[in-house]
Amino acid sequence: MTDQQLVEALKAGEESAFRVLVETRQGLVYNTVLGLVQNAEDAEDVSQEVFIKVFESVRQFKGESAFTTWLYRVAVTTALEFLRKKKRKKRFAFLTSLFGEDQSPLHDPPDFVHPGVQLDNREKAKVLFQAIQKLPENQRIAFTLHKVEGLSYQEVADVMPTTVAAVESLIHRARQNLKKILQDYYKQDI
Amino acid sequence: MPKKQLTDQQVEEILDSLSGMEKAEPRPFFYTRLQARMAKEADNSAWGRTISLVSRPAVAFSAVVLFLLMNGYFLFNKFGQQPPPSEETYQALAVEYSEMNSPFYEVNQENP
Repeated sequence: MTDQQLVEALKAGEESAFRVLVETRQGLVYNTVLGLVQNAEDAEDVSQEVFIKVFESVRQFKGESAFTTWLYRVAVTTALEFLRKKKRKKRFAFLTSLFGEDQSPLHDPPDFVHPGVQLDNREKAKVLFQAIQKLPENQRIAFTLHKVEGLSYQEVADVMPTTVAAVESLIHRARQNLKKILQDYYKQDI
Repeated sequence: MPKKQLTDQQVEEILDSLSGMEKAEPRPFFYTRLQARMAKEADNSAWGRTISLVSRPAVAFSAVVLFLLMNGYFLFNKFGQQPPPSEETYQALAVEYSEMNSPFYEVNQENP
C-alpha cells in the first residue's frame, strides 16, 4: 500500500488502514518521541497520542508534504507540547511543595539511556542525553532528528520546516553548545 | 570516566556516542493498547468535551459577561420603558389577593 492509498483509506475512515499505519510507523513515531521526551513510559503515552491525533486530523492533510514528513511533524509537536505541559506541572509542584501539599518528585531520574545505543557507548550516551535536554528547542529537535532518528539534513529541513542551510547551522550550534555543556558538567564534578 | 576537564577528544567521543545506534520500538501489542485507549476516550468524549469546553477560562468568562450584559439590558431597557400599572390593575390585584388569602372556612361559611 502506497502512502497515498493509505491516506485515502484513512480519510475514508477504514479501520484496517489505521492498523496498517500504526503497525508500519509505530517505530518511527516511538523512536522520535523517545529521543525528545527521554522516558520510555512517557514516550509510549505520547506515541499513542500522536496516532490519535493523526486519526482525528488526517482529513486536514492536504498532501503538500510527504505523509511521513507530516507524521514526523505531528510527533515532534506532540512531544514538545508534552514537555511544556510537564514543565508547567513541575513548576506548580514546586510551588505546592513549598506549602507542603505535594510530595511528588520534582525531577525525573537523570539516567535515561536510549535502548538502541551500543553497549560500549551507554555511559557516554547517558551524559550526552542529559546535555541535549539543556539545548534550545530548535537545536534539540534538529540534533535529535539527525542523530537519534537518523534523518538527513534535507529530511530534518522538511520536518521543521526550514532550509538545509538552517539545519546545518542548527546542528553546528548544537554541537558547540553541547561541548560547552559537557565541559561545564565535568568541571562542576556533578 | 574521570570527572575533570575533558580533552577535546573525549568530548568528541561523547558527541559521537550515538553513532550506530539502533531505533527503539515500543513494547509488543502497541496497537491493542492504543485501541483500548481510543475506546475509553470515545466513551468519555461527549461529557468530557462539554466539561472541558465549559471549564475553559475564556468560555466561562464570556458566559459570565454575557449573563451580566443580559441582566443589565433587561433591567435598564426593558422594564424601564414599561408604563406604570394603572389604578384599575392595582384594585384588581388587591381583590384577587384578598380572595386568595381567605381561608376556606371563611369562603364556605354561611352568613347568618
